[in-house]
Amino acid sequence: MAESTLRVKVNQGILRSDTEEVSSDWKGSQRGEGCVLDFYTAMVLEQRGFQVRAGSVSTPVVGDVVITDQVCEMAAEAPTGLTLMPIFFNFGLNLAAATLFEVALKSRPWTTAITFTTAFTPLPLYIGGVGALSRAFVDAAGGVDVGVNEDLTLDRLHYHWAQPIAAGAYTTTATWEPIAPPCLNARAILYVQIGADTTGPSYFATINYFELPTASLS
Amino acid sequence: MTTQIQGIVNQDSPRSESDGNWIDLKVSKRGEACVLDFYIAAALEQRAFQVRAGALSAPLVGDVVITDQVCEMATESGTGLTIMPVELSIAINLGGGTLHEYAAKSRPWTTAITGTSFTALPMYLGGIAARSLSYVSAAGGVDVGANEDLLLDRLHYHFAQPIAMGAWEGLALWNPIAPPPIAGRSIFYVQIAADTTGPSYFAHYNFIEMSTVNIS
Repeated sequence: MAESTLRVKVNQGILRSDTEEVSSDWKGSQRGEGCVLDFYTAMVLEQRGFQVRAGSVSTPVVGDVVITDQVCEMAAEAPTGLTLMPIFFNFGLNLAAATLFEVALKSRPWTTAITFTTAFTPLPLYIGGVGALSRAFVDAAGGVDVGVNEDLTLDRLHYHWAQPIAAGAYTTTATWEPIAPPCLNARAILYVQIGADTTGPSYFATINYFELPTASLS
Repeated sequence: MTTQIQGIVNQDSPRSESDGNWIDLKVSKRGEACVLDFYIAAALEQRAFQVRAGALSAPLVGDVVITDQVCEMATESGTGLTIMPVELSIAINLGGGTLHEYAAKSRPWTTAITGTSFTALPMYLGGIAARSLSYVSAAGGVDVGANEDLLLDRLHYHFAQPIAMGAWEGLALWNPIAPPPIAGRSIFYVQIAADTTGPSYFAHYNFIEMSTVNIS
């Protein structure tokens, strides 16, 4: 009878819960497929996922008039030794009477301290999980200042949503979920700009990101 | 020096080994190793469930306007249980109001949910029942017991639209690449509302249930 050199252990009914540093048999299905855990799910289960959000219930935050260099509406800063990986960005505009809408998610190396009015404690995506090591900021109308102007040779543009006309025959909600999330090695800043002409758009927005020690990456 | 890993080709007659036994790794007839990702494994292990609202030509009608503390659908993970929402779909078939807001959020449990109970459907037909408790009700009929708090409530997905239904797509879909582990006691909830007239909707969300001890 043929034999393999790799066997997995069937574990479908009662899941195991081994402790750190203990050898654990590779889980298999009753058919012999090896069970695997993708990077994203592993990260959230390990309590490495965090969220920065703006707006709640029926109270949106109002963006900038117009999108302005150096300032933004949401930001997260990775301190030395930490890497941020943004994995999800979602916004919905519920008032959009102006024109020339711009919603952008960018990152840049840290140059100078972020100035702000309102700090935001990132929410662990694992409810009850460990606190974030990064710092975050949320403010209306360009109230978060990342310290320097955007530079095409330094700032990464991860996502950009634009619309020339007032809310009408188009969807005012968008989501970014990258297949290859950028690695923002500290010190670095992740930031979101939401602006329009004549009147700032009202929005609800969320960014989710992973935190990993840079030493574990490079 | 060589490394040799061999599996067993098993394409025609799937095996059915019992829990706790070793089994040869399955490979295709070409030699690719067969793997099962976390989500499919959870579904096959009967750990996936669905909460739904609206059937056939009878949608539910959402709130006027989105209101703090209340929602249209919710699931509570009890102590020792973690739920992971993996899909949310909201389809609007009447949207005469303005200022539409559809949101999926979660929060630590504070007080008992009130509303009409919904027995979560096992995604594995005939599978075991959910241990979590779910609720579905129109027009903000489910009360999660506490106001939204920016320091506690996670906002997983938000769909907003200022104007009445027209040439915008009345479909909100959330398929997270990293579903949040909502460790009990906690609540996952969905709000669907608009100004002046509640939107009529068909909605469902699917979630995975797992004992928290198997995670952390």
